[in-house]
Amino acid sequence: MISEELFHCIGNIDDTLIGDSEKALRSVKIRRTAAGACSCAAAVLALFMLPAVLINFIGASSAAPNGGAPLNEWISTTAPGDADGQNAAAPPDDSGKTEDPPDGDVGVSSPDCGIGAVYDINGSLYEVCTDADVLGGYGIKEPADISMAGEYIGTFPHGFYPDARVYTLAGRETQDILLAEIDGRVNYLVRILL
Amino acid sequence: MEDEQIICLYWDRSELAIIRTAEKYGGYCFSIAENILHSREDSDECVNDTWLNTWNSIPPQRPNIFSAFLAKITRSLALNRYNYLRRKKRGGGQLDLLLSELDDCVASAYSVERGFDEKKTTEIINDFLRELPKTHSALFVQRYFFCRPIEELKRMSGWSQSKITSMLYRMRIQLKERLEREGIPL
Repeated sequence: MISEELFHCIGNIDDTLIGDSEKALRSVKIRRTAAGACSCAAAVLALFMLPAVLINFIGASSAAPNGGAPLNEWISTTAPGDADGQNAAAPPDDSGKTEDPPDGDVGVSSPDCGIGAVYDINGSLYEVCTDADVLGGYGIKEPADISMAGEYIGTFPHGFYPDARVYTLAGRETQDILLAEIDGRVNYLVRILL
Repeated sequence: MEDEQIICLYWDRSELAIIRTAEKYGGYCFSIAENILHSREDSDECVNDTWLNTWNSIPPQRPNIFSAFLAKITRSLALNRYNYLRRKKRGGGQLDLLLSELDDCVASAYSVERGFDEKKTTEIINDFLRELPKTHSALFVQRYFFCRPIEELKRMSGWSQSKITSMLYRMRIQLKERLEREGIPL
């Protein structure tokens, strides 16, 4: 069979598959938008409730028999780090990963550097990816982190940041997925398969 | 007007049927033709031919899903026109890209003598799409039946380009495996 014949066969598929397809695909966006709106609403609600929670907490602390935990201790123990909050929020150790000097630009970005921007890195097109389904296809289940950086490839301009740094993923031969450090933030870059 | 009422107009041989169809589905059919032909003039002609074909098909046919019925006619006419234009070295581009994507589903070394069973292949594709999650099959149909560009699929679904291309790639490979397993000569 050749692709023209396959294309012709796709033209004969069942009417029910055709009829619902547009609605089904648009429903993805509606669900995502609704989920986003719920997250925003929850965030706004949390912001409004924060003063009330703090006032409540301070009131409860001073009213407790042992005086309760001081507010500054309560805040410090919720920060990442040791349980007692002494070493909270230590910066990640990325020594040995970024010591190589830039070799010059390895790519260029599309004029729009927002979400969905496409980057040309060494002749292949890439896109910043946070989608768990796509990343799962590469066996990745954790957020991007500079500690995952392998070989340093070089820099590429990204909007206001002319020296976004790009790395391979440590322990991987493939360059279908890379790591990019843009203004201190680390993202996966996934090769566009077209 | 409801589809059933429009179909009744065809059965009554009322020319109002074409007017109502054009009002309701003119843009829909035009976009299908435009995705293949990339020419306003050719797409307009293709849509006009769709109304004529529909007029000649109903009766005796009575489609269950009128929009899909029209989509198939428009797609088929647009494809014929595309092949005609390609022979005359006009048009092309987007559909060639689509066909090159579908090369993932077929073997590179194909012998024409082996032939293929069109009906069986269509049934396998139907089964394959029914077994996929609904959003995945919708993406496949929108790309390879309606020939929508990736940019448009991004707008419709809100998915990123890499997610869409990655999903399509995986589905093409799955379809190829399925066709091979079912004994379709590739």
